[in-house]
Amino acid sequence: MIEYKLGHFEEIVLLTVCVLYENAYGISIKDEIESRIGKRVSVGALQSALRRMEGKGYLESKEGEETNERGGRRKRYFTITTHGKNALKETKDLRMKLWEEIPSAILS
Amino acid sequence: MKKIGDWILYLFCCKEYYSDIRGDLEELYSRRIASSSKIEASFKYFVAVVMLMRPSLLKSSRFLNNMNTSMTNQYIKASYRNLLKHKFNSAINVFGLSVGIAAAILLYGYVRFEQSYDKGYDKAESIYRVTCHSKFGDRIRNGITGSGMLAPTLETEISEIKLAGRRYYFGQPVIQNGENKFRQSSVYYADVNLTQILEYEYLQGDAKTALLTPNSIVLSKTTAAKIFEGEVNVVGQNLVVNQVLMQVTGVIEDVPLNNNFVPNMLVSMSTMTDISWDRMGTITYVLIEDDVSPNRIDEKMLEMVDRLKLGSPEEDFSVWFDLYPIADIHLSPDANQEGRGSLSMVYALSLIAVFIILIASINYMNLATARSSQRAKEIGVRKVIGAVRRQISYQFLMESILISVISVAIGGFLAFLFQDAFVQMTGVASTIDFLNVDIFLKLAALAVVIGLIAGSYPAIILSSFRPVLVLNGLHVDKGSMGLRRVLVVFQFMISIVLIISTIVVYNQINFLLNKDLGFNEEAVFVVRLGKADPSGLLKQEYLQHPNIKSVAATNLMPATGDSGATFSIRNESGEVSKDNVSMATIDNDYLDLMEIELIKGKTFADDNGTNSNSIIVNEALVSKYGWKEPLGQYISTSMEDDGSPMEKFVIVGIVKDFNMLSLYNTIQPFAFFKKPQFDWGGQYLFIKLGEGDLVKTVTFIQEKFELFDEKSLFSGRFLDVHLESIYQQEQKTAKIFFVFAALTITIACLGLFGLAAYTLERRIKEISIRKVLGANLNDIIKLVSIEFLIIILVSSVVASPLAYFFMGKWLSNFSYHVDVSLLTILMGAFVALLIAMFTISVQALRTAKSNPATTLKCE
Repeated sequence: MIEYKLGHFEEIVLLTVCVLYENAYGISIKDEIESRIGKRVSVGALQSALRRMEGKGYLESKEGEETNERGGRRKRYFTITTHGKNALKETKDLRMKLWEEIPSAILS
Repeated sequence: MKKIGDWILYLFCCKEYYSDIRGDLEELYSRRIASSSKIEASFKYFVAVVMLMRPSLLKSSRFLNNMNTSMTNQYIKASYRNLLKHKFNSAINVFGLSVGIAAAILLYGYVRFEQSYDKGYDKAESIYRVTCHSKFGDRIRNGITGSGMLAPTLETEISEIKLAGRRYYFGQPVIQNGENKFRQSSVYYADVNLTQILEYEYLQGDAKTALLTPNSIVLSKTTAAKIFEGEVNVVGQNLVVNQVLMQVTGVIEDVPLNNNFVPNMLVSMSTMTDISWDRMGTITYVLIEDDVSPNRIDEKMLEMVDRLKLGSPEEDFSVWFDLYPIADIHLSPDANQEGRGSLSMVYALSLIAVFIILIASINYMNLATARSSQRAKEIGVRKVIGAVRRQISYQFLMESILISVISVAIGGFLAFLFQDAFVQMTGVASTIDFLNVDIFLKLAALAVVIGLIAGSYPAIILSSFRPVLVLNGLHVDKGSMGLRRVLVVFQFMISIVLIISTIVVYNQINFLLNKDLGFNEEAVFVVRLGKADPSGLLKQEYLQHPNIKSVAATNLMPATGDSGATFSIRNESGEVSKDNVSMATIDNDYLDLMEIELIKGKTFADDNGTNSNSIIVNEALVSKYGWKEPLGQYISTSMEDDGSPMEKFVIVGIVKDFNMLSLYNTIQPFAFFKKPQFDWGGQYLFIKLGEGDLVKTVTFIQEKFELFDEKSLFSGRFLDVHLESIYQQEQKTAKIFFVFAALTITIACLGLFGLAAYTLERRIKEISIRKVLGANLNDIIKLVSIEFLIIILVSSVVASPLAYFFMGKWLSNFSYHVDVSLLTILMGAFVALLIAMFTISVQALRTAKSNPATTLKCE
């Protein structure tokens, strides 16, 4: 039974937030994901995923410094919560388990 | 683009997230601006905003939360099914509305265009045209033309005037580029200041110097392309203008058609050598400081007139000037401003647009409430199940909005299709940019508004049904029948007013074209001479041709404006006054050729050669001065101090009144002078043709002309064609009224058709029983028509005084006009009645012919 719900895109976003550590805000996350999966990510899709996961309690956010290039608006930095980490771990565990049980004949 | 994006984001994005999302977008935007173009960045910004429209990020709106989406779906579905179920009704509604909307869109375009004149300048509010007033004795002259000295004087004397520019009409010169000859229209003398005030954009040449040196020409882009046939670089090229060598020094962007002054070609003002305070005809424009009121300048100009002594109290001569905003010229009600637009036409067409849509909306209201009994059960059941009144109204509003959305879509398309035809009809280049996003927003708003207007009445009435009554079959809709009748009366009233107006306009035009002008314009061909022909060589050539009856020379082309001069005239009781007398110079054959009737004295031909100072005057001049013995009286150019005349012109003949100016004006005092008396300027040969081959004769006329004068361009036309062209504007008005009267009556009849169909359907049992009891076809048709007959009669009664009032006002523009007679009004009403009766009788006949057995058997 899976306790945590995590979609594919959400998982990628969550992992990226972890990778970026203290520098995870809207645009940096977008850039990171785009460079890794090589596909364009819209601001809308990303923001709604971030907000959704914040709502679920996987992410926390706090406001950062003002910058000029953002028209004087603050960046919002995201960090993962314990709950989020658990969700990631569980997803990973589930996958590892499944991987391990794949008969070797298939993989060869 | 980016701004719209920001605005959408602000409106729709959830407050909580707005700030960071906006920040993200801004960051991306600034990054994109650095790497690619601004347009691309803005566009991507906009796309990103649109892509943001997802429920999780949107503002939670009260509207969205309260709206029961599944119920709304239900309404739309029910509306859609209702439309399909009652195809006939829906078709009437959609057709009527879409035609109405198409008409309204086109009329809106027209009105907008007319109002947009001269509003496009950056400093439109600081640009004024100077109106010149002068008073000389009793004669007051107000107009836009004045002296060419005014502009430079204003600029130096009044510090609040930043720039003062001027223009002067050049005429229609013949332009020669190598072998090619053109007659060019819209040519003006102008100075550098004028091009700066009017913000002309130079494509070639230097804006500051192009119009400085004499004999310089600036061409509009189109004219340059025409003359030089697409050559790219034309600055520095030479052209021969009226046999004078001139040089092209600049090309300007074409002046938009919604400007009052649209020149094709400008000639430098310095080419004119005789500018003085006495020479009139120059039009002056000024650009004033932003924060100065025009009244202040008016005062200063009064002071200036005093200071420079421009008037002369001894001669009872005074002048004054005032400013008129350039943006108000086009629709100015003041005739002196020579605005070519018509404010009353703009009002009339706006009204027609509103009325057409109203009439179409009324069709919907009437048909919807008329069908109410059919839907009463549906409403009853809905209410029993639990629908509240608001939800029922919602259902009906949804239906009407659905219809109007469909109609607006079709109407927009129709407007697009008929745009060119409409522009041709009105002669106003009011194109609507259908690619503009703006127009779609407006159309969408229009659809909703029309839907709400048309749907509100049925929604209120139908939602008020009481379920117990309607489900018991007790519901009878009596109340709304009265209102339906009122609405139909309203529709037909508008239609009848328009029909009567159309008839009046056509009557008036016929009257103008057929009025006896006091001379005979038939078969007179007019040739404009390019050089003087004092000894009449060309005239003699022409007279050789068998199909040419006679030839006469004059300087006046009828109906091209007043060419008068001021004379001192002594009346019967000996008082001398100064007065304007319209005049023409003619040769001996003119009066005979034009068949102007001599009632006293002799013609110049009889008077041959004895006195070059003889004149022939019309009756109006004689009666104005009350001369008992007019022959031998004189008018003179001016009086010496001791009262003796400077130059006397003695009256030798009196002719019957004739109208050579335009029928807008009454007949003015008029005098014919002998040919060589005044300056030779723009001479015309009037050639009376016989019955023979016109084409051959005109070709002959042209050939001889070209032999006689190799340099000028031949231009000739028939006098009657020319006279008809004066009333072009009226003919356009007539066409517009005709088309829109036809549209309104069609839409109103559509509604009537639907209403009649419905009423008869409800009365079918009554009619069948009457038939069984022995009523014949005539009785039944009479029975069902009488109700509508009364409605149309009432409409006619209401419409007549309205039409009488409006058309009376329009007709008062003309000195000679028809009256709005009872016959005209009856005719209008009769036409409406005929069309309406035809509409109804189709339905009535069908009902009356139905077999009583089939209609009665099901009960």
